[in-house]
Amino acid sequence: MVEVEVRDVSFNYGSEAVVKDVTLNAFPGEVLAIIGPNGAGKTTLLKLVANVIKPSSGKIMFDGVDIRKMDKDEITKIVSYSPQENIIPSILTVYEVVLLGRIPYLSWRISRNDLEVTKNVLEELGLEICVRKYANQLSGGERQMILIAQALVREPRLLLLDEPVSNLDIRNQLEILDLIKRITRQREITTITVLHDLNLAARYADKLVVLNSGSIYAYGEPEVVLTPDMLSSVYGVEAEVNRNNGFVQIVPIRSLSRRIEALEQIEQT
Amino acid sequence: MAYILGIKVLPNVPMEFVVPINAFVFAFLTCMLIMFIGKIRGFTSETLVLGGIAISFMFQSLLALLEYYASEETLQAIVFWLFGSLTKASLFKAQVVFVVLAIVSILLILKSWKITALRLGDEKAKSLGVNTERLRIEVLIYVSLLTSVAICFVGIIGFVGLVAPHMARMLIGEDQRFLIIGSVLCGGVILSAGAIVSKVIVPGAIFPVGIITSCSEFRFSCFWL
Repeated sequence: MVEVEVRDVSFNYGSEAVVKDVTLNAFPGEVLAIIGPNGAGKTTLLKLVANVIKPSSGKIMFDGVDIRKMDKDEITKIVSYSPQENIIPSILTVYEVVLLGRIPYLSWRISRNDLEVTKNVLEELGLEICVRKYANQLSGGERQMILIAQALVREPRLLLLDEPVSNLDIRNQLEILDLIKRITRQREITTITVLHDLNLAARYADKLVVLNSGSIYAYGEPEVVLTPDMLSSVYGVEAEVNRNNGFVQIVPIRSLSRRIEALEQIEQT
Repeated sequence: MAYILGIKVLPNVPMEFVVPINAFVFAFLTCMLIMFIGKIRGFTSETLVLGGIAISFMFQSLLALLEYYASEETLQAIVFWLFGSLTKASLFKAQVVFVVLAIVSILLILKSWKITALRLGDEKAKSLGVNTERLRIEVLIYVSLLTSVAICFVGIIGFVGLVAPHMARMLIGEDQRFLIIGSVLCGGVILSAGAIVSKVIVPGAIFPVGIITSCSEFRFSCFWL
């Protein structure tokens, strides 16, 4: 169980501020989804929490301890971060890739416990049939599944996922997000995930953070955050927000971008 | 350099070891130079490879300069050293190489999981908690030690180091725990085969083995890579 506290964190690439003064909390047993348009700084924020990059200012704390004061190996054991890119260029089997998730514990001999945990995760995700295949021969969706498995075998207390379901078909999307939510609840871990699909975010996240140009636009429960106003000012999209079968549902109607208006005008004249 | 200018990097060494020690020092310096480029430009595999190519061209031109000024006998000695030949090996030299090889292999195998993680790409390795820059530097130091010790005694025996790891990878995959050992074994097999051919090909004379390995492995590279 790790309570994550991000306080006044900014990050600059050169002179450009990508994340600006972000303050938020993530709690154990909850799924926090970061949403926002392309280039809003979602991935950067996730990398900051994963300690892959260091903030230009502000601080990030796990259970009240500044991560700069924590041992790097300790952070590695707590945190599992799965980046967006899912290309696996090397000749490694699925099993080897997943096992690498346990890298802080691995030595020349692989312990019984490591094998057990890996086997369980592979079974849970239904990947046990393809363990001997080479990872670079799999489809994009299958690779995404094994990278999620890799994140889970570490038995993290803080799970960070960057667009975990972007390449998956609709059934796998539901299954993976169900699984992530179930594990988050059962093991009381803290999950922060970037999601592009607003309907999935509304359905699976306990809380949403809306990032716009690096700053937080809104933070709270999906019903409160997902409003037509937010969608028009952050995404530039006119949309309806409905409630169906207990889920918040977003139906986009049209883009409000000037480019399209200009095109329409040209067509009319 | 030792042949032509008579420069010794370390004073008071027997003549027999001047060339090996010079070769070792300069091979190691070259690797340090590559590291320096990496330090400025960032330790990605692209910068390291391109930096290596640039440096090798620089040394080739310097070598050409030395050859231009060399007398006929020394030129012959240089060329023969560049061919790479096992005839210069002795039991003592083999022992030195073995000790270095054993130490470096153990150090590399201790890092094998991290190196395997690096094969997933830098981003992934970092997300798994591997300090990719430091790992690259460490591995580069080990590798430069190995190469400099190997070539300083027998000269440049080309392509073994390039092809053996690929061959091992095709045979046993990329789990570095086994690939490191596999590469060592494949290298040994290739070099031994080359040595046998070099002795058989012209009866009564020993061909420089470097010529054999480079030739045969060019074929290998074209067909298998």
